Amino acid sequence: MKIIWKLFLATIKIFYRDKMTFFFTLMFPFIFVIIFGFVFGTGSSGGDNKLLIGVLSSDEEPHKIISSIENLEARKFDNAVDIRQNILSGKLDAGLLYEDNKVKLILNLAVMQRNPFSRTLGETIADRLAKSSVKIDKVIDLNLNTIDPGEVSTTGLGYMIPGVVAISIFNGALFSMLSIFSYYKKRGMIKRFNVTPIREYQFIIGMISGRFIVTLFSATAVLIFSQMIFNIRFDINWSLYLITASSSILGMMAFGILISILFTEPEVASNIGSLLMTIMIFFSGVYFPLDFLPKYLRTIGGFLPLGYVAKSIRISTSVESGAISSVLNVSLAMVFAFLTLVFIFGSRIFKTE
Amino acid sequence: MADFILEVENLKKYYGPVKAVDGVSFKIKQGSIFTLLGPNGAGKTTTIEIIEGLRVPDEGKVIFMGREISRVGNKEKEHIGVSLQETNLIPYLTVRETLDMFKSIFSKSLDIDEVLKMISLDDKANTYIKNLSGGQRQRLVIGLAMINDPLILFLDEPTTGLDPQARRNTWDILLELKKRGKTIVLTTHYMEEAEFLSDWVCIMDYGKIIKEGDPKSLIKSLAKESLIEAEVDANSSILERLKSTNLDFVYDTKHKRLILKTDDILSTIDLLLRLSKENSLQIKDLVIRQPNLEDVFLSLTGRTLREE
Amino acid sequence: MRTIKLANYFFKSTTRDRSDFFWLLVFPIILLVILMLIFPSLYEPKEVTFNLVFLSQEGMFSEIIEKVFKDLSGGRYRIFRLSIVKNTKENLDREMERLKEKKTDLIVEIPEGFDAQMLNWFMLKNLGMTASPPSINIYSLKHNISSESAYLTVKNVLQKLELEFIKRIGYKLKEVKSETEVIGTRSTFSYIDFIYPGIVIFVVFMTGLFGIGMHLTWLKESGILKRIMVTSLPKSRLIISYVISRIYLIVLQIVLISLVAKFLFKTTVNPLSLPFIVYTLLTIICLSSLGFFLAAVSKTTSGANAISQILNFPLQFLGGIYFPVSGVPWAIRWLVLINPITYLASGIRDALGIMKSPYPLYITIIVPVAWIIFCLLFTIKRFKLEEV
Repeated sequence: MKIIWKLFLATIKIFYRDKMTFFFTLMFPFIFVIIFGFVFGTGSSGGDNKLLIGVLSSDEEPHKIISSIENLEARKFDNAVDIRQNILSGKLDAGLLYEDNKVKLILNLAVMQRNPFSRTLGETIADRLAKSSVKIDKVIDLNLNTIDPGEVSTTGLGYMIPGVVAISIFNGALFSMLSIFSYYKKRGMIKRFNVTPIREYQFIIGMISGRFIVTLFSATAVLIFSQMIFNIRFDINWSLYLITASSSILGMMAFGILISILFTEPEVASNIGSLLMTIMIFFSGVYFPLDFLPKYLRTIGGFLPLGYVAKSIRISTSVESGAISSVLNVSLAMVFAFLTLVFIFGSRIFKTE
Repeated sequence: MADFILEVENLKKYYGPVKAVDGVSFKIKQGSIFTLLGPNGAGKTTTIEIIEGLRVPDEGKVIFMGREISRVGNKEKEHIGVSLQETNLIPYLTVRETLDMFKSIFSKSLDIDEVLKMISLDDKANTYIKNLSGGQRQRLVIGLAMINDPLILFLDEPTTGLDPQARRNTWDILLELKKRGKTIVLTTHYMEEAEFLSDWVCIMDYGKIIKEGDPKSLIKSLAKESLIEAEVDANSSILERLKSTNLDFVYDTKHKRLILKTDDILSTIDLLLRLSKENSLQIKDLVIRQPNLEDVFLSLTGRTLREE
Repeated sequence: MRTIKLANYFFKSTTRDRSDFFWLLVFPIILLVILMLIFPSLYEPKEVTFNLVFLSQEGMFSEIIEKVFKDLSGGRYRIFRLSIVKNTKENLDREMERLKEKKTDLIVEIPEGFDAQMLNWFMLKNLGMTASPPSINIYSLKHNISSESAYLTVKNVLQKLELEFIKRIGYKLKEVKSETEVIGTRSTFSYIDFIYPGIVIFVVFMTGLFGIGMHLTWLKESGILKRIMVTSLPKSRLIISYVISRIYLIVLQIVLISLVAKFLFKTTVNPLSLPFIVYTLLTIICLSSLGFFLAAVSKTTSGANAISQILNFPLQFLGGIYFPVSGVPWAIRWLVLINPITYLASGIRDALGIMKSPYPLYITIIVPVAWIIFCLLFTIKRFKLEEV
């Protein structure tokens, strides 16, 4: 029993003493949160930024209409060339030319890429102008209610952070196992333990438990610190969060063990791990929505566990609602994967021949 | 307790067509230093790793403290100490933490400070492994092998890659261990090491033990008192001539070294000089010396120990 | 001859390293494929059908609206998968739950009394008085792109319907046509044309960071450079052969990416066109210099690795390789502005007519050139001091 405790302590010491690992495990998720937070935080979903539109018109109507639309801001111009130039240099998001009952919306490609829905703006403004010609503002008042998917109302960035936490859990768990079971094995450390009377389960539990705590700690740190930095409030259901995080760590660890057994060369194993993570990150829906993906791709994405875990963590932080049973099912599946893989492959860890 | 702490009978381990260990048998006396001497690839490490329980033999018996065991299990592992050929320890742990971690595996163990003193690392107890020198690291590896106060220690090439000073330090530690009654099984390809430390030497080559005995008698088995060694570029006719003289000699074609074994140094040198004159043969670097284990190996195999 | 031979060995030492081979040659292709699978669907949504729930009321107006939605949800090119239920509290609550579970994309609710209000509005309007218009409640899900798109579509439909109503009651409406022009690109935008030059910059960037910065630091740390320096080979030759070996590598990378972009994804960008070649060369020189700079500042391989890793993602993403970066707060805008990739990426896209650069073209050349001068001067100074 003592040895499990010592191995546990040793792995934790290694984590904070090796500044490089410490830095990367904690800082990387932050770098991603910051970059994507700022870049996408202003984009289509949850955008707080107003679109600035340059207007050229002989009358005041378009300017008034644009100013009355939420998220739009109008600025008057007196020639179209200026508008185009300002759009191209990024000073304006779009331009509107109104002449002879014709609305021409000029959009910058970059704006359209960030906000694909800006394409429909021209039509909206044209309809409003038509109505205003008979002094009618609107016949029907569209009353839009954006419903928060969870109990907690949050920004686009806030909605993304639980997904980043899931990614950091996956990353931490996967690579910690690769470093132990592929790197340590290659360097003869596992062999050294094998000539002592240590039992396989003691070694595995000792090694895993330390990394487990370390991964849980860094993922939770990402969750808590990003709340503070970006002034976001989650309502964290801690028991649900811990169940999800713990089971996911175990599941991904088992996966890491599997990779390190299949690919004995540490470099190869680590490349396979990175590739797998890249694919999962792209197809998890955390950073990029998958709604418009072709069906077959969404089906493939459905086999990758990251999306489910991200959802579980969103539910645990109350930014998304969902049945607790679905969270528990995901956790159960992760634990099941862990037990199966460790049961089947665990004994191969110690194989020296 | 049995006289022999460990006996090995007809051990075999084949990897496909490669006979890594091909019928090795030996007995190790309690409290002795037992050495497997041989060039790289002779099967020393495979043999020792079978005894350590890292590999399963294809054939053969291992008798540990008078009891035959099919595989070295945890019960035996409690009583053995191991230093592997290459061990990388965890770089971000200190010396003391590393010893403590291994100590916790065993039911019986020595005091950490005592071990630290024996391997003279008491002043480095709180240094990270990554900041140790090669010699210090090697001493720690031996310290780890001692931590469970084992009856028998297996040290696989404990001094390879060390400078002469560090090697001497390691030897001192091993002699100290022997004084404490420990049995030590050593593998090495340094004949000085085997000669200096061992009570019993098994010379291995191509997976077989080709000769064994205590170092002195092994050397004596060469029967001749002295050796004359020189670098000469001998052609076949000269070798023919030498053969006809009834002299006992070995010629290492690769290094162009001729070793003549003789009781009569003067007349042999005389013969060599005559040969040189008659064939205008250059003789360089002539040495007269006592035979050593290297010569034993050379006379048995025609090769030197350090040939790859 | 010796120079070329040495260059060959430097090249082999990189391509035979499994990690370098993977990250520099294989990974960029995988990345391109992944990006092509995901992003075009965001910009040019196809075959999208939204799940729309219509909570209906009895009454003429409500039924007209209902019918319009019904028409739009039939046929081959239907936009909506429509389900119509009576507007009751239970139905609304149930559908709200389904909305949160993403089973429904949007809820359109005709509130109670809608018809009466509508009639009232028209009557008052006819009398020249104004009344507050009746409202339709729409419920959409936050942070959900499907729901957002569904809302915009529904909004457009209802706007058209409003115009129709106004006409029906006898107003003569001005016809206002609308037209949208996307500027800053050629006739049609395709994501592969956008991303292909980006991936070219990406591969050169990777080589700069890892294939030069880290590799050279490793050569330095392991003493291989020193070993070569003690031979009779002049230092200039050593540098030239190293540079040649990196050119091999970069050319190989660009050729591989170009083949995939051209033949698998049918890009219309011509890699042999002058602007492409000019900017690619500028990219190669600029990002390689960055690599040399990195090797000059770092003492150990792990140090070089740390710097590379820290620079890697921010420079990549904030350089606008994958999506345009504008309108970011000043906290990180400076990272966009000092980033050479920003100018390289917008410059090459502008020159190829894919996307107008927000910076004048001369700036997209001056900034990278300034980086080149800075990096090379620093590197030369540092290497002179160190003798190797």
